[in-house]
Amino acid sequence: MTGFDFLIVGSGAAGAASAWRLCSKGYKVVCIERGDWQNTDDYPSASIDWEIKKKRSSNPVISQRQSEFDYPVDDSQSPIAICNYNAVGGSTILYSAHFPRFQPRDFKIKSSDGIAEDWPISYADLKPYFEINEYEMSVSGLSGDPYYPDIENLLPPVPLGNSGEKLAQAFNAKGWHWWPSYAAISTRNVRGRSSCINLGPCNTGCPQRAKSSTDITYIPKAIAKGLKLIIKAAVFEVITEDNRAVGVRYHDENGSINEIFARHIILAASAIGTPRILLNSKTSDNSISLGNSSGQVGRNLMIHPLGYVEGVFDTILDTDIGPQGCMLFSLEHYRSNGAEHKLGYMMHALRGTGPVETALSVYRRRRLKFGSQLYDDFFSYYKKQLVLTIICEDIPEVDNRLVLDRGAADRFGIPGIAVHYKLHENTKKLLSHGSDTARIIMKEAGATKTFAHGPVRNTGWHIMGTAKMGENPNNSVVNPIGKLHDIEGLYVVDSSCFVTGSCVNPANTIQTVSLYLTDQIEEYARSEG
Amino acid sequence: MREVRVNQFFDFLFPGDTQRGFPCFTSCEINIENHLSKYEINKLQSLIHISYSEKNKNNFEVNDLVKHIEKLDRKFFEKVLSVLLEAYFSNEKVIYILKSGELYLFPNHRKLDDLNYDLLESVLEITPRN
Repeated sequence: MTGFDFLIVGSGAAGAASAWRLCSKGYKVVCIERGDWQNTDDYPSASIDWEIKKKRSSNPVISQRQSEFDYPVDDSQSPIAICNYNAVGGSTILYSAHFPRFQPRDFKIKSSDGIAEDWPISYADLKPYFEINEYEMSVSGLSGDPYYPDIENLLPPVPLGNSGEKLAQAFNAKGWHWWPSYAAISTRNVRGRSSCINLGPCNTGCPQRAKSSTDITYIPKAIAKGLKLIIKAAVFEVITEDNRAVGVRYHDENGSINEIFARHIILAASAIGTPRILLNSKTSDNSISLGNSSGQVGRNLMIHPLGYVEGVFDTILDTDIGPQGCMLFSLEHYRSNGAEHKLGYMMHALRGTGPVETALSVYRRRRLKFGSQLYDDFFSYYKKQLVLTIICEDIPEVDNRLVLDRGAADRFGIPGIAVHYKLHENTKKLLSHGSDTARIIMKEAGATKTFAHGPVRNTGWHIMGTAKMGENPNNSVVNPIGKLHDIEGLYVVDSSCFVTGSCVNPANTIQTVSLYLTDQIEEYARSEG
Repeated sequence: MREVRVNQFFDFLFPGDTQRGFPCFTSCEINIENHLSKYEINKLQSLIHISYSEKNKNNFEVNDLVKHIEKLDRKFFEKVLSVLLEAYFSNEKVIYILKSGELYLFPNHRKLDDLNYDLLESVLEITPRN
């Protein structure tokens, strides 16, 4: 297939935003997605046994899920398991939709904190694109946050419930920052979207279609503007001619190899999938993998290491009602004066778990007796638990990396990925500090017991940095417009290009960076003629 | 020495709670072969038999029995108990009691009160550290 102006690999957060932006400008765009459309009737929360289904087909941990659309990921050499989802909509199908922006300072932590590097772009560059993205993704929340003074025009915030009010009062008692969550969840029936019905587990897919995944936001709008979407198509290699990317090769669902060509190739297959494609593609002299003269492809892997502090209360709370991952958050410890650690963390409140997860967690804590005592023990915890997560900013390290795993291939014989990742010493200090502060809040809120642990293994959602952006081609993969230094016609717009990772959920910033870079790429493409 | 079958053992673990309305394990009509293999069920039966034989009693407290079987094969038995907890607490009859008759999350709308904006008064005075 030929004749396309732009070819985008991936229909998740970044790819979908890029596709919509280009189609809106009248370009002929094709998007290639290795997964399939999701049927909302099949989402676990439409079934009685949703917690069982959540662990199987909707398991976020790719090394456990291994569906036909996945590739092998060996994360045994990492304390954090990689989480994602391969489908039209990508990981936005299963994400919790907690949607803050990166802070302005997050783009310049070298200048402000003496750590890592500054991005070659700034919050000011991205601000108008945040506004576009928050409209398109129906973001709810509240203006007036001292940490986000310029956010406006949001739908009303998701409700706190009595459980959120307990935590809010605790933060107020300590004089600490908190704010209702920014959430990519439609809280009103507007713009053709359904309003949230508070069913609870957003991270199994939203059958109500209130949670904003890209399969119900950017993708259908892009299709209406002419996007060609090819699904169940696993891209494995970029095609080059005379040092220019001209297309990609992919396996269709039957395993046949297909080629498709475009004037410009945009990779948005996630910070796992994008380096996988680059590492599997060779330069014309076969000497190194594509775009890797700096040696940085796959390196500088950042994941937000997560701690959990669970508080158990004596009274029944409404923890089973409302978006599980969106309630309130705190940036009180975005920075901490006089602390041993550098940078900081976000505290992010989660509502409670379902009955299966409650029973299992109480059993694992050895607090569940069997027999007639089972029911009293169960009800000591069911709908009586709240969680504060500690999301730690990760300092990029060149040896935290992804490599091709030639010993484990997907069903088409393409190598999987092996993850090499160690916690930074600063992360351990952040987790320790965060556990202490979260326990203070839980006790202030009235928790009679608290349990802290971290890093929590199955939480590796926020993957960044593996095709880093920079001015210097000797230590970065893409330039400030997302174009690979080494080759013409090839770009990265997903979180692979992130220089640093903040301590807040990255989805809003991923899409915003994608929109910004897409405009830069389009301008560059026009200048090429 | 009486022989305790696996199904009886499941009912010892999950006897039900008449006051709260919870059924016992076998009343849930869970097909255990959907959750454990035949090999695992047979192995569990053997461990139960060994425990009763070693204890040389016909009756003892179920949690003592659990501890005894754990000592025989901790990893296997912890897996079995986790599977049984999953099967029981995802069962329709148990969910019916837990959710007061509302079996499905979707499409049942549940209301939470809107935000109490008074809670935010003191937050507005905070000086951010960014």
